[in-house]
Amino acid sequence: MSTNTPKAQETVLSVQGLKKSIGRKEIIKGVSFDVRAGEIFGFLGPNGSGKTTTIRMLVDLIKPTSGRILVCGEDVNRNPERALRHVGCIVENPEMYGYLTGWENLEHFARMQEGITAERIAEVVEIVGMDRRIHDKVKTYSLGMRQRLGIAQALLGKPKLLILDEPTNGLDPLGIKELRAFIRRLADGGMSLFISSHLLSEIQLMCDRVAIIARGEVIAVGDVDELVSQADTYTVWLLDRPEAGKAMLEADPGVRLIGEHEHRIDDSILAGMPEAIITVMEEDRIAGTVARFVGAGIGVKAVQRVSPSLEELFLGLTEGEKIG
Amino acid sequence: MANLLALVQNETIKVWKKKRFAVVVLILLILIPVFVYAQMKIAQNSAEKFKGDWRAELQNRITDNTRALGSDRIPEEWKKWRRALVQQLQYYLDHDINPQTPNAVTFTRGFMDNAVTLFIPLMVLAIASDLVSGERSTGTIKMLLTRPVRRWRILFSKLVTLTLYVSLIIVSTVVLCYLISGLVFGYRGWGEPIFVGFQVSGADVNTSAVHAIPQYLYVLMQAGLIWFASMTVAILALMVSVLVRSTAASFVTMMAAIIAGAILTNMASSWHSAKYLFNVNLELTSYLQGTPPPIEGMTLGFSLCVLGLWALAGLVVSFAVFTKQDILN
Amino acid sequence: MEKDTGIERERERRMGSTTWLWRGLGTAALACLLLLLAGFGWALKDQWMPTAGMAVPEASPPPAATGGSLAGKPEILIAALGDSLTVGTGDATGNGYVKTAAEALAKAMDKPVRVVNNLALGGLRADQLLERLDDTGFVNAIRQADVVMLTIGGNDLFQFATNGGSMAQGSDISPAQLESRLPEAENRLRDVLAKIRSLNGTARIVYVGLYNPFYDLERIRVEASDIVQRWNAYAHHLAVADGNATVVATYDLFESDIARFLSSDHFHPNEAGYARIADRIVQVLQ
Repeated sequence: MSTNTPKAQETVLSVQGLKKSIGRKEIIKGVSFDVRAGEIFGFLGPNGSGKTTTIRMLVDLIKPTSGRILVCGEDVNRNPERALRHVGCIVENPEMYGYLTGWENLEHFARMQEGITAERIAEVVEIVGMDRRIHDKVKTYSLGMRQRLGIAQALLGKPKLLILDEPTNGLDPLGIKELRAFIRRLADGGMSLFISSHLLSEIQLMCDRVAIIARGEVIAVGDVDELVSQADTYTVWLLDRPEAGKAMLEADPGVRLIGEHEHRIDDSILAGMPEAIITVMEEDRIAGTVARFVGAGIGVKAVQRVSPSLEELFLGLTEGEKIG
Repeated sequence: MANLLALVQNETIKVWKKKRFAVVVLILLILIPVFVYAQMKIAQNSAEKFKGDWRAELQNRITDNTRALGSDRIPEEWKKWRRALVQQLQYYLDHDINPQTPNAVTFTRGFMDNAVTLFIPLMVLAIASDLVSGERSTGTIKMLLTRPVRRWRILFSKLVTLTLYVSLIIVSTVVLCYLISGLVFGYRGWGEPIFVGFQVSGADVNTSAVHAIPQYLYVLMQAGLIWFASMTVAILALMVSVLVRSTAASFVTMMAAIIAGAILTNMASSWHSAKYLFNVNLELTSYLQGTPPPIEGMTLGFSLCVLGLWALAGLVVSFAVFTKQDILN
Repeated sequence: MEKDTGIERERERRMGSTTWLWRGLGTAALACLLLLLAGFGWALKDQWMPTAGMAVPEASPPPAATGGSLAGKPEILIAALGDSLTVGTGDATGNGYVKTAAEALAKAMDKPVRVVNNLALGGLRADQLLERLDDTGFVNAIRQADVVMLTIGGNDLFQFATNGGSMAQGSDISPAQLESRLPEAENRLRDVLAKIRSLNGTARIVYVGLYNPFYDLERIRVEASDIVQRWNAYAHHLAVADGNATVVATYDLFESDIARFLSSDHFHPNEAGYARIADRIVQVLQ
């Protein structure tokens, strides 16, 4: 979904060869990716994959053992006060000072950066639509309101990059929908967003590009759509004489048979098809194969193409990692 | 780069809005009247006994302490202390100065002398222990450290704020003490003379440098010395607060150290190297009073050096850890 | 528009509240800090470069006794001096003969009687008492007293074991030693009484005489009793010479039924013993 304007190609965040060891254990083994201006970049990985550690390194909460993080060309570790000026972030939960009002919280963070006026505070309050409760104590806020206040805080310094860590956690479906629309609006305004999630549907719905992390390593970076199309599409056969059919398919060099436990198709798709034969083959070979089955007297009850979801793609990538 | 003053403003407002200082004032408002009442009872009792004859009362104290010196059951260390006290009281009697005129200033002076080892450190800890660990346990540290400000500036602003609050606490204690006790004992006494400069060496008190000063000056010097001791406690508490994630653990650790110091001081230990511990050196006002130090060989200069070195080490550790530390949760 | 100005005003108000809080708090705290730093600096200066200090105000003279008969006074003041007997050692109630006598006297004479100070110290000898009589506290107390009560001499005569040994055992005591100590001790007693008299010309001096602490010690009972008698006789001689002094005899109080009147150390009286001494003092003073 990335546009082709030159501005969009400008790199806002560049992560190069990031590694982190705690004690003797290397928990981040090498993370590299770039985030361009105006895009929504997904950061996908299961819990415990090193996602949170990486995000914390992006905002200088954790010092990397090696590697570089550049925000708008400034090194986050060497020049945090320059680099972080362009970053707004919420790491995990939007934790603010409960004993201060929303407004006082914003004032607090505004004082930590030059050039943020009272007008700007009022502006971000309006952007997140909180003007009604902004002068109440934060401890009286609901999670959704805290989330909004967190985003307001992150937007204070007009950042070029907004980092949100699992932003939909704990929100109700309506809130999630609103958040998605809000994020899209921000991106359309030229801001880059870096959004982490362990939910693939989330990333598919929100992001332009994605980096997938597993066990401390980025195993794939690319356009969400491209990554999906790269993956194998399954062809599922349902035949009246499965044994004979299987033998025929096996003999065909253009067809790869997938064993019962090696595929990653959701069980709901295969329900009621106990004898389904799962293969990987080119789309244009299907018609010929059907013809040969018919010629051999094998009845074809159904042929089905199954596209992989991002989840399958992800699991495939990580599985490969494990084997390799 | 935000300027330091703005950061100090942030921290000051947070401590205030978190009602930490209010808690301190509340503790003072509850405890001071208790001590005033106790002191009033003592005063009434002795007024009944001595009919306002302070010389007789003072002599009685001297006699009581001298009698205790004759007892075999009292440890030698305590005798040393009493012997010095007797010589001091005798000095007051010989110069016909009442060391304990009943008024608000005398009460305040006595209260502050007693408060320096436990009570004031406790109130300092109420603020200092929470300063960093409070941000960590609520997670707000993540917001604080991802702003474009260098970490040492954040910690430095917290240190400045702590210094300001320690000063406020001490002055508030003096002021509240004076105001509350004045209701009972009267608001006079600022100009009354008090002797300083007793030099204790072993069991003997050298009075050659003794001179009289007005009580207001004494209270001022006393508060200044208490401030120095409190700052050491505050800085060490800040260090523990950096090292330990939970406020409770940080408070308990420091409180244990302070109480251990008070106990060690009272044991007047023959364990000589204990004098290098910070918590044994907190009672700086005793040098002003001229009471013997808990361990032989301790002087005002020595205690100031020990406290200063501990504070310096605390600062180095705090800043080194805080600026390098990974915030893992 | 309407809403905007509302927010604007509200914002200014809120901005103002923490700004003013900060200004007030910051200024106050800074002022406190500077004050304390000044105090700290002054404390250092006073420690290492002390100035002469303020002039101590002129002492107001401590009150002095008026003289005259006890019966004519509105209030009787007592000063007590001496050794463990005057301290009240052995009395579980802590009153000793001084307090008991003062209370009984107040009842008998129907006027307030106050113990100005009980300056007695356990183990005190007459020569030590003589030194202490120069102390300001002793001088003050004796000067204003109408009655001076004292016990002294017991330690001069009977104190042998110096390292915590109990006098009551008396095992080291030989009659010859007692004999040799007597003249020296008598001189000290004379000096003590003279000194007290020089401090207060009008006070009634009540000297509580010695009793034989070794009455139940067969070996030296007779010799010790003899020494005690001679001591008391000498004290009586001094008292008569003074004219306003009395010796209160106690030797006969502790000769029979000792267990009833001596405390568990077999040397000091118990509360009943002290009460008997007090009774005699009151009789003497009335």
